[in-house]
Amino acid sequence: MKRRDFLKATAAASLFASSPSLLKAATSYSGKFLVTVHAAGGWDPTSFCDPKMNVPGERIINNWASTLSTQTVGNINYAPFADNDAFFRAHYQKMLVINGIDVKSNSHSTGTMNNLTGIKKDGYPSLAAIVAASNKTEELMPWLTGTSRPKSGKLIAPSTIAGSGALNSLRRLAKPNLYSTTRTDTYVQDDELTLIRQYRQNKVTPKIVDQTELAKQRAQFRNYLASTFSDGSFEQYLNLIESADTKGLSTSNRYYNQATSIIAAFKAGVSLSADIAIGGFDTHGNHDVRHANALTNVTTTVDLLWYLAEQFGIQDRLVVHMASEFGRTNRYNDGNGKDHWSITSGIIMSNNPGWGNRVVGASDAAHFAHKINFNTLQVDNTSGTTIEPKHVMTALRQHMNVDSQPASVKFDLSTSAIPDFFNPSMMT
Amino acid sequence: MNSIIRILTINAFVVMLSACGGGEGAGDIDSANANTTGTTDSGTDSSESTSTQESSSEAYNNVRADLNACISCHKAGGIAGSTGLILTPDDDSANIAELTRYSAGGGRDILLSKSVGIPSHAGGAVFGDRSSTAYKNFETFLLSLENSTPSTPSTPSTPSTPSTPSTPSTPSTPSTPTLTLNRDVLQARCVSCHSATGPARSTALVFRVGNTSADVSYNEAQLTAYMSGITNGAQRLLDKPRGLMGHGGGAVLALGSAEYTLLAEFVGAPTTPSTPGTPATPGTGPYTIESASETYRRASLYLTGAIPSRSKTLSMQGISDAGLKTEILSLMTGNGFKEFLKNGANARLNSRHILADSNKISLYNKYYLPNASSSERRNVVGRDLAEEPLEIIANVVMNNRSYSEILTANYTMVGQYSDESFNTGLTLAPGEWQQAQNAGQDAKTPSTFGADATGASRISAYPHAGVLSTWSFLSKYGTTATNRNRARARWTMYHFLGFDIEKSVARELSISDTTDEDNPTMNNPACTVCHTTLDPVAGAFKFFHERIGYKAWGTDSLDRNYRRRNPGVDWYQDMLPAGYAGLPASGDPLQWLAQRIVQDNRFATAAVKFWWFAIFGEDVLTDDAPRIQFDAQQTLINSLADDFRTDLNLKRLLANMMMTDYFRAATKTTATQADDTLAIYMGGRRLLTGTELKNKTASLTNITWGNTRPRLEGEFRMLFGAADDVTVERRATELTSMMFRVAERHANEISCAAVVYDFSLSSVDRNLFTQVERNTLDENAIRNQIVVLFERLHNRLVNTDSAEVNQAYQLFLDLRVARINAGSATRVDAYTRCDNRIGGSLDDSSFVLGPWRGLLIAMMTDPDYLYE
Repeated sequence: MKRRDFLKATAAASLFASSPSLLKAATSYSGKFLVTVHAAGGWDPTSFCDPKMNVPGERIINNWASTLSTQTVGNINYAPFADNDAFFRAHYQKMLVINGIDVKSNSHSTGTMNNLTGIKKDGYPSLAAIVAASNKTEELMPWLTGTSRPKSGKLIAPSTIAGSGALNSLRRLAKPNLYSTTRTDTYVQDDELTLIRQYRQNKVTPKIVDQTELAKQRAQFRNYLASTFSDGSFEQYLNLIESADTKGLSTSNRYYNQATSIIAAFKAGVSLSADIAIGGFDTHGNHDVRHANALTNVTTTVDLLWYLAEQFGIQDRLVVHMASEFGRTNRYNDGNGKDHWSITSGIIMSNNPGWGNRVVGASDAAHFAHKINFNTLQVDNTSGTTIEPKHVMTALRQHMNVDSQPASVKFDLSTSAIPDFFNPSMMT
Repeated sequence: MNSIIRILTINAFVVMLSACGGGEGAGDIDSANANTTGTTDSGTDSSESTSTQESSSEAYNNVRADLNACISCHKAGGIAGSTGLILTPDDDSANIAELTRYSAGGGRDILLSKSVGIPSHAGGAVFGDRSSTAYKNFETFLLSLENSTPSTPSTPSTPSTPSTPSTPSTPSTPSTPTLTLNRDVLQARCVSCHSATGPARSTALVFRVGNTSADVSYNEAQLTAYMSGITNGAQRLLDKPRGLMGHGGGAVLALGSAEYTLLAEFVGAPTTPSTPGTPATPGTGPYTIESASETYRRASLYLTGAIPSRSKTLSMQGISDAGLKTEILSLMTGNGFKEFLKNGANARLNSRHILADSNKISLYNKYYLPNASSSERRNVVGRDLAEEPLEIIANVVMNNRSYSEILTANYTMVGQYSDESFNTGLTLAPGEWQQAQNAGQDAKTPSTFGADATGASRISAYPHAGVLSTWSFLSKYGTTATNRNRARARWTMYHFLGFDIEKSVARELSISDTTDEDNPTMNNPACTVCHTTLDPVAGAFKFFHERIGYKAWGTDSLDRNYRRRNPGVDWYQDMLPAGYAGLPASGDPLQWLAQRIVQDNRFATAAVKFWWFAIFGEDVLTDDAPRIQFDAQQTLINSLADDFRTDLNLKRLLANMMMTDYFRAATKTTATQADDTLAIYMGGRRLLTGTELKNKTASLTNITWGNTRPRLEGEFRMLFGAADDVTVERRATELTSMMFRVAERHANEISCAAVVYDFSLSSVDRNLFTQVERNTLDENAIRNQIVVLFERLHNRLVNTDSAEVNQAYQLFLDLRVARINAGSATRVDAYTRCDNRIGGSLDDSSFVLGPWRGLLIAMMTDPDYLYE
């Protein structure tokens, strides 16, 4: 039985209630792919997309500002720091920069939860989990993750992105019945394999709707059945990884490997969304050197995502969201580091969107968030509202067309109003 | 730092902690152990006191000097100045009156227990233990209060003339002390935050400090007003103290505790939540419980890595619960159990992160390993370092020692390579581990001294504190010049107190809080709410550097720059000093901290949560779970912790966990029983780890996939969902398609060898095919064999005419037809492969082995094989 037939056979009302992931009509997915890039540790927007010059008479915000000035490409300002120049010049047309996001926290775990889910509450799923759960049909690994503790909301099982050294092992998994990738002998014959698979299917399928089974056991059976489907997409996935041109970047680097695996998985129809985390941003000491390295990792990885997306022809379907759990202080500490700061920024990217090359939200010279009017997007510190992660996440859910899906409804973010982020005629 | 401010901050912290820091389960021991029978925790009946009845005055004189230890805190303005016991320096009359009042109010046993630090007395064990003279004198004095009118004692310089002792009378059986809402709940647990000056002063619930009748009336009126004025006020009053609904103070009342009951009675709610799905008697709810044989087999797989023989498994049928528990306890021995303990502990501590992160081995520039290259140091010694904390835990548990020793152990465990690096003088064999002292660290300022063949300048007094002082633990939760051991403190409390400080308050920071530069962690209430608890624990780690081990600079491990600017100190002067629960550390701070932690009531509860994942394959529920399930689980956890607390024997705890309905629930009794009415949402079957799957297959077939290099622990380890303890800290608990493919390949590659080998044995020696031979085609025999396979492979007891057996039998027939149709070759590996063989004939002239192979593949890729 192919996955689509399984879904038709089991899309009963009771299943709907207990398994919001099995809703999609049995057609191949043609919507957007999402990659969430979490800059782990708390990045410094003032050295990236919300550049700050030093204020005379005040403590130094950025050492680079002593000799260099804020750069601009299109409508977007950026800091002349790390490899920012190449990144912004290459991709500014894709970008919606959101500045002045107040996360109201300086806790790594709380901030990360807030950044990935839009809320400071346990149990909520990340946007990538919602996208995968809402759209999955035949994909073998709908949701890829490179974070240490994926936030699933119990909607869908995450699949860890395999390391670059696992390619040979992955090939052996592409055809589990094949002795070797260079030979044709098998462990059982094809007709035996068919019988075995049919037996499994017939035996287990009734259990997922058997209400005498405890809830967790039914979920285990559903997961199991979903995991048993097999088509040619996995082999295609592996072929794409092997053949990908990665601009000379080595896939032994974990981040570059993740980027390659993700785009290959999207193209092959294996996955729909991915979370990755790029670390090194918690620079309490030696900020400039360490932060530059970490930012370069992010910009190089995201650049690679776009490069590969274009190579595989899916650039028009890709959405990348870059953000972090909080920002960094507007001054250096005694160890030349920067500490936690509750104001941060995020960047949403698509290929040639009508809403690209724009900035929404702002902060003042000392990196305090401005309030903005959500309708006009103009600074209004009298009666405006501070942008928070929940506003960004609500907007992204709409943008990814999952806001009315059961997963989003179940995990409501309770936002009464959000900025008109994607209105191309306005910016802050 | 202004010392006065620091002292006041400490005062505030202790006041807060006395209410907010009690955590789950706090207070249970007070009421359960100290009051119900009048016996003390050690079981010593106070009526067994051999002291004769003395006058209160003389009794007071005997304990007077020792009481100064109490008065130092329990005085107006003292650290314990907001508790229910306020003494007065140099005022014996007042003190006798106060102790009389407190004791007469049912607090005698509380006074006695707390004086020896049981349960979590912030002042610690001021009278040592129950055998001390101070304790006995105190007990005598308190008893005397119950039987005589206290006389005014003479001044210390003029010994009083002892009054004629009254006729000793048998002390009356102490009645259960009466807890009161204001004193034992609001004052003890709430006012440190919910007062006019506390961190919760801006909330809708602010109490008065004190226990006068006016205070009681005022505070009860506050509660009443809250219930009527706040939406769902009554429910919030019950939920927030349990740590739910984002309570900033965390969990200060445990569901089902005496204190919670008081509050529930006041609110007018049921004192215990309605949990219709949770039967009063385990195993009698609206769900079935698996058989004793099924439970025993699962326990054996987890605890030993072995599937018991069919005869052993079936012999468990009909055994009583007590008998089953005894059998489970008997499994907890040997290498298999040791591996379970180590893997289970690693799943929480991620101790093996060192293996995946060679940077953490830089410490070993401080140790000497003769003739070793740097890569050897990293690799082989790193393996020993990764196992060190796990070996400590295993050593404690395997030897039936108090579980507290995992933190209080004044030794470490060394293996084949660390024995030399630690300069122990031992020469251990591969795989051998022993207790030892770390006497290997170079005491010189940091430098590579690999060339130092003698390593003469070694630190000889490394302050071991069990797991806490191991390099694996210290480097997993590293520190920096600004972090200052706070991560170590945070995770210490998380793992061993069950207290997640990052989630204890909402952490709604305003930008002004973030920009505060006036030492906010000591002065800003938005920060001190956590840092007054966190920073003293961080201070306990002060001698452990981020990279250079113990006392990196000879006397301290401070940040180099700070040290240069602040000579002569060993801790950051803008942080609270090392301590715990308001007490300053003494002696070695980390060893001191370990002692405090294990005396904390929460240590036992934390242990239940720590081992929950190893048994159930998931974390304990959080408060976003359906309330009925959350409450039921919390009640169970508290119950398990209460029992564990009596002897801190982990084996008994693990056995108790395996006897719960969570482990043994099988199915609902009726299909109409709605999920959301059940407190039980899971049966115990969980996804097996790669190691468990490997062990299961090896146990049943004698074959390990990959032989000496197990594929499920090597090549396919991560692809089967394992954690690497660095990037992926938690293994997969749900099957993915990638993991299923690994399982499929596993079954494909070894099924033929398993069939062939099993048939090569005599039928009485076989693991699997005990009912048939290689030419058996009789339907009944085949069906009987299939029944055996269901029991052996799936731990399911089925009948020969059941639907499952019908399906499997049909598959057997269909596979046989397919084999026959493939061609005339009569070997089982005809047209296919049969790898990994360890013996047996490939002859299959009856076309029987082929179908059995196919059936074995089907059953080894079935959820009942992969989940157990």
